[in-house]
Amino acid sequence: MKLGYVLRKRTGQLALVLAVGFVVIGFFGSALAPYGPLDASAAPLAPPSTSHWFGTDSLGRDILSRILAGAGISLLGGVLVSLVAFFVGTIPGILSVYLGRVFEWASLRLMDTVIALPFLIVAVAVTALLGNGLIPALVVVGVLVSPIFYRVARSVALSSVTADYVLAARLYGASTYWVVSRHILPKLIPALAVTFANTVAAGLIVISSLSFLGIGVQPPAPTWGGVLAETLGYISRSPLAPVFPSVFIIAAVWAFHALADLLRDAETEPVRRQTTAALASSPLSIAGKG
Amino acid sequence: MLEVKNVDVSYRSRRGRNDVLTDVSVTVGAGEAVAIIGESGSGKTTLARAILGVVKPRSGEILFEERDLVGLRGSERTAFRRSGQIDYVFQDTLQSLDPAVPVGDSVIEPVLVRSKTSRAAAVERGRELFDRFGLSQSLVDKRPAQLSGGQRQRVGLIRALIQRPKLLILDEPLSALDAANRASTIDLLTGLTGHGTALLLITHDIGSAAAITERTYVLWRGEIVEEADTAQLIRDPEHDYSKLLVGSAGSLLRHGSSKEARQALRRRLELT
Amino acid sequence: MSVTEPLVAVENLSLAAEAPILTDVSITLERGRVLGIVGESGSGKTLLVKAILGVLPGGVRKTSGTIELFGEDAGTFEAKKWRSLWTSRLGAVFQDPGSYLNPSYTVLQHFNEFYRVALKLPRGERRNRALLALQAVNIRDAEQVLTRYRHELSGGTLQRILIALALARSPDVLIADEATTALDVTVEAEVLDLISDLRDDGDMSIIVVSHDLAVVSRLADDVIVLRNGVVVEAGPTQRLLSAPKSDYLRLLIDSHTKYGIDRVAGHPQAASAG
Repeated sequence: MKLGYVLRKRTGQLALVLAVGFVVIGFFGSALAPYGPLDASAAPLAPPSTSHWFGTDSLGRDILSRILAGAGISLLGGVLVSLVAFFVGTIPGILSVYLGRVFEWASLRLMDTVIALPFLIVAVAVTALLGNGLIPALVVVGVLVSPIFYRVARSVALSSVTADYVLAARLYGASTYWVVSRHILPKLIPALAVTFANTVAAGLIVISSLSFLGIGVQPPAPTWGGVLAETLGYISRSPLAPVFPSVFIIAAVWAFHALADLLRDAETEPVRRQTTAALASSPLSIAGKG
Repeated sequence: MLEVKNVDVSYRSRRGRNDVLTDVSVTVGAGEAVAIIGESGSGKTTLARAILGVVKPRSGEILFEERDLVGLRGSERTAFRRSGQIDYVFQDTLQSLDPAVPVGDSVIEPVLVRSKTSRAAAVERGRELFDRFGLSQSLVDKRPAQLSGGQRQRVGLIRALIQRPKLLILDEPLSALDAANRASTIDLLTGLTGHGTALLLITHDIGSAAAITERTYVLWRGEIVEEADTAQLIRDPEHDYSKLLVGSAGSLLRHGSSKEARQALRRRLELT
Repeated sequence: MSVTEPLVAVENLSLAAEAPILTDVSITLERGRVLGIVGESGSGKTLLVKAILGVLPGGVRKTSGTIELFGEDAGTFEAKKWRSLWTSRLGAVFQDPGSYLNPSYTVLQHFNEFYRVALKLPRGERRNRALLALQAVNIRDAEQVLTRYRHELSGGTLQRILIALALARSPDVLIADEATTALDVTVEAEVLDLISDLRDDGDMSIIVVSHDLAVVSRLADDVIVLRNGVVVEAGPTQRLLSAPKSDYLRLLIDSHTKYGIDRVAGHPQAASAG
């Protein structure tokens, strides 16, 4: 039902196509690449041509192949960050509503602290401490981003706990299991799905930024951020080159954010339609009246 | 059938103890319709919550068919709630119906929770009640926000009645309704007592008490200040607050007290 | 304008948005009289009020008819003219008083803002005027109340403050649209008594709008019954109540006589004035 809503909109169709496309590239990128990403296959800094759609970099490697090959790590990085954030944030978020004031206070303060940390700088610091590994850096970023899941989970749980419809269910003798599975989970899952999609996009940016800075993936292995950094290095001689990795990053980030937005809209659609109709037929409040 | 005896409810805040209900006693007999009239701050919602076991009284007893309700432990209370002898209708249906669940499903939820009835049978009964209450079958799949206030109110009523409770507690059931819906809902409710369901109406609208109930308690600042047959209360209230209530109530006959009388009562009650 | 001309004259007004809202509605408010408009939700009453006040929301258009305020055609009014009317001749209160007050202002600050901007009162005078304004609406502890914020006050007090603010304009016309709907019964009576005093003491001309026929009939000299954008009945209150012509009005009357307190009453209540 929700997917239907997403598919009916043009943005939804585009976002879905892109997202699926990127996932496919992520898995099969290396196989799809026309040339080996590490092989010099033509003259360096060649402009886009029929044999090299995006041209070549300063070492003569096909840029398209490098982008395709690097897709997997970039996207995987995004997903990894989200998974870590999901697991670290969601459970405490839900528990903060049920486990009493002390836990609530402690977890809230902890999350406030975490969210205040600038994740890129912390990632760089972690790299300095633990060595130039990508996975540790991503896990740390996942933890730093987890407050988002905490807040969403907590918000849904909180509004459910105080809602009259939950009280109503309790009054006719519903068990906690019933209340959770019928009234709370169905609200939690869509909210978390939306957050997840948004976080994948954010994770993508993070890993691109990290590899742009040279953290994580060792050269000459390609990543989108890394390729962007490389191409920027010789932008004066090959001005078009940085455009290609940028477009991929932007498109992927957009696609996931758009999917998240549409999923959220799909969830609230019937009520929004109703509210709009109600507002159209009844007067809005006066603004600026003396 | 329902006996509330000398109930005190209070809660602690940083400023000390806050008495919400003091020495409240109310009885409802089988098949009787009784009203508790109170305005904001009177403690009427707390009284309902105490009867339903959501709030625990500091002292006093609450008995249903001679059985103590206050001392019920967790599983006993759940069992009692599952027996469906007492049901409750919320005032605000936008909050009391799950906004993400189609109303047809909300309505049969008590049946599914409480009994082993098949879903199909429950749905059938739900549809039957939709018909009886004048709701179109096309509404069954809609969400609460897509219904009008009057329709939602009836959905809330159906949910509470679907298992024929012995006692139905209603919190301001008529406040959101227009004249036509108000009339039909009142007819519906008076019909219920004819079938043996007892009603406890909690409201600030003495008019609805007049239309539905035989006896009325007046609750003011956590205390019962008067108890009388509803008609008697309206014709000849004794307590100053009852006089103010009756004199303030909406009436077309203009028989009620004058402005001056109301102002004098307010001064005596230190309300103004 | 002459003394005998109506203050508000709506003639054959039709409003529409995507669907018709009002059709051919005519009402008049004479000086010193109270006009009651009874309408349930969907009747168009609030948009009628907003049309009179010149604050119709964007999507609503006037498709026919005229509105005359104080003898002039409101259709010709520009923003400046409306502003001057709002600050000196027209006052209005609506449902849910809290939403019309700024949560970060004290009550005094609300008055000050009006006094400073609209009346250009010097600072020294403002507090006293505000005190008097609150006392005029029967608020005890006016000094205390002036220092309070919106969330610290009850609905009844808030509504009276809004009436006081409306009165600060010394308006010729006061419009109360469901002003007591959100209030408890005794508090509602208090506010209605206050409005009744305004009519009795001053020569305030008032339009009272409510879904509740009792509220309207308590105050109004003449009543208009509005349903689905159409005037169903109109006339002096007593005549309408004793001899309703339309089924709809009969239904509204039944709400009280068959389904309300009037079913039981009918004997005068023995309320002593203490």
